[in-house]
Amino acid sequence: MSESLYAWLAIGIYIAVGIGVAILARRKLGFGMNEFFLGNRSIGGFVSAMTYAATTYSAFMMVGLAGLTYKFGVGALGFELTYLCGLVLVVFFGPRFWLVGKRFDYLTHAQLLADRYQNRAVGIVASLLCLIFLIPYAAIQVMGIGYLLARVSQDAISSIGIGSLLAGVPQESIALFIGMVLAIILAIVWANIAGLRSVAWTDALQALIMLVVSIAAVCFLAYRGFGGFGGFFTKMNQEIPHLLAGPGLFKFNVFFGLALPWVFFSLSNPQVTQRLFIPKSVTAFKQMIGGFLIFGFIYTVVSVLWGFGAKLMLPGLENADLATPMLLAHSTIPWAIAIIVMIGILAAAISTINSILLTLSSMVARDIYKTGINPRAPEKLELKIGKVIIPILAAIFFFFACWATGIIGLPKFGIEFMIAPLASAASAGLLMAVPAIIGAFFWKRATAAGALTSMVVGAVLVLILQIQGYKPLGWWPGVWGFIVCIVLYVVVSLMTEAPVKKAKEFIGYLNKELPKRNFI
Amino acid sequence: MGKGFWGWLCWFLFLFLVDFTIPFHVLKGVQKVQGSFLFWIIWMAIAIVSMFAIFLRWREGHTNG
Repeated sequence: MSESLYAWLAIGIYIAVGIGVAILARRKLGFGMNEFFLGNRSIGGFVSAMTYAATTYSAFMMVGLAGLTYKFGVGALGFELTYLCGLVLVVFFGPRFWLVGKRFDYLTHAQLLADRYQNRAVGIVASLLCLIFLIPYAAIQVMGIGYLLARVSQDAISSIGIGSLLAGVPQESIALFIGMVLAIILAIVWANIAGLRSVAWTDALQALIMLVVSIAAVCFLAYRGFGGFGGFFTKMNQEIPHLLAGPGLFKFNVFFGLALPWVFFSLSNPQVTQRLFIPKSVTAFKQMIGGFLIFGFIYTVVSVLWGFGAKLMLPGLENADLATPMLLAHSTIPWAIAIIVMIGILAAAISTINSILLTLSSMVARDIYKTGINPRAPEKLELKIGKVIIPILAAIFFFFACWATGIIGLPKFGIEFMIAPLASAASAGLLMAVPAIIGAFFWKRATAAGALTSMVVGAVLVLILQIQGYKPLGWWPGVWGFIVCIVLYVVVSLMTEAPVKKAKEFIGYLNKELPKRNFI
Repeated sequence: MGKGFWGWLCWFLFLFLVDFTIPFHVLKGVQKVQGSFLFWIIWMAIAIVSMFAIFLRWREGHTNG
């Protein structure tokens, strides 16, 4: 049997186990929006921690972060750990989300904002912001899986003769297409079988695969390539000292521009804020945060060491994004380990896609359809719409990915050129909702007009700067957008009338409940 | 605002300040794993311990209305 077929066998086992876990999760599935999209707010600590980790960490870690380390050095570690330290926002805000989520029955952070500011448009705009920035981001993940699987599937395609059936189409395009279709089908199936329960359970499985596989790969690299971690570090000191000095080759504005949106990731990204509603108890919440912190710490260090390993083994690569694929193909790494690492990267990407898919579907059903179009819609209809949206959104992810790769010759509508900038701007664009989110919990004087203006103007500014590639004074779009966004939120709020009654009810409830559980 | 909110907020702001200043200034000339690499590992370990110190005090409670 060829290496390619072994790889497909491993992928087949991964898919079969994942579907089995999702079907097991379905046994506990009840009825309703809360049940389908939040697991009835009754998910245990371990699964909450693992789904939080698998949702947060995508293929970026073992591919993109390793590439950043390869190119810029130790600053990549600083950037990613700065992001992880941003989890302190969950320590501060998580209990607040959790308490008001239960009290006012919130499903998404957009619904929280709409209710708190007593304005439906706030919820709709917050949801649209998520759709605009997360669809291209998810499409990029789909493309990543496509490229990854294309590498292992080309041999298989020629061996089973698909290439001859599609004469004239490049084999590479067929392989890429098949990889992307597989990713989308898996994401739909795992999201649809039991909603959040199947996503969370499969995420837990995938998080374990990601962590175990990456640790094993780095240990293998260190011992086989350098005779152990001592030898690995000595080699780093001898051969790449310039990548270890200070922040490596990072300039301060680049480091800050990258880190700022990611520090606020836990508040700005709906697929993770939704997870603040799901733990079944305070104990489960504690386990979720603690588990994620330990997971994130290990996974970050391992991914960075992998990048340094690539630099030492393959010092001359022109494209740093190829560091991981090239290292996997290196003779030091046996093909069996390479296949396992590929499964880990696949798991990281799919677990991010299906979580985004489920969360965006809940936002379309709750914040756009129910809140914006049909407030009297019964829960059964709302749930039906949420479920129907899942494959529709997945199809949109897929077509965006196809446009971006240009593999199936789709007509150019002018949208495809937006995909890469939108995906790059995702964290910065979503950052524009953060002042409105923080203000909702603390500032009674905050208004809907302030929230709306800050989100819309901030997002438009980020998009313009990103598309133009313009960085005034060397600072990144997210930094400028955030400054403008904060100023607008405060100034417009002070000039308009606040929903005082709701603000007192919302903040008053928190002030009463927080001390009962020792929340800070 | 719960007990200790402002104290912890100041502590984490200090940690973020250190995160940006030490590697860019103090460790600029240390071309070894024992420089910024080790600093960021220890820095994150301190941040994690601090977060554990906050949330390990949380306890179950009963919600009224």
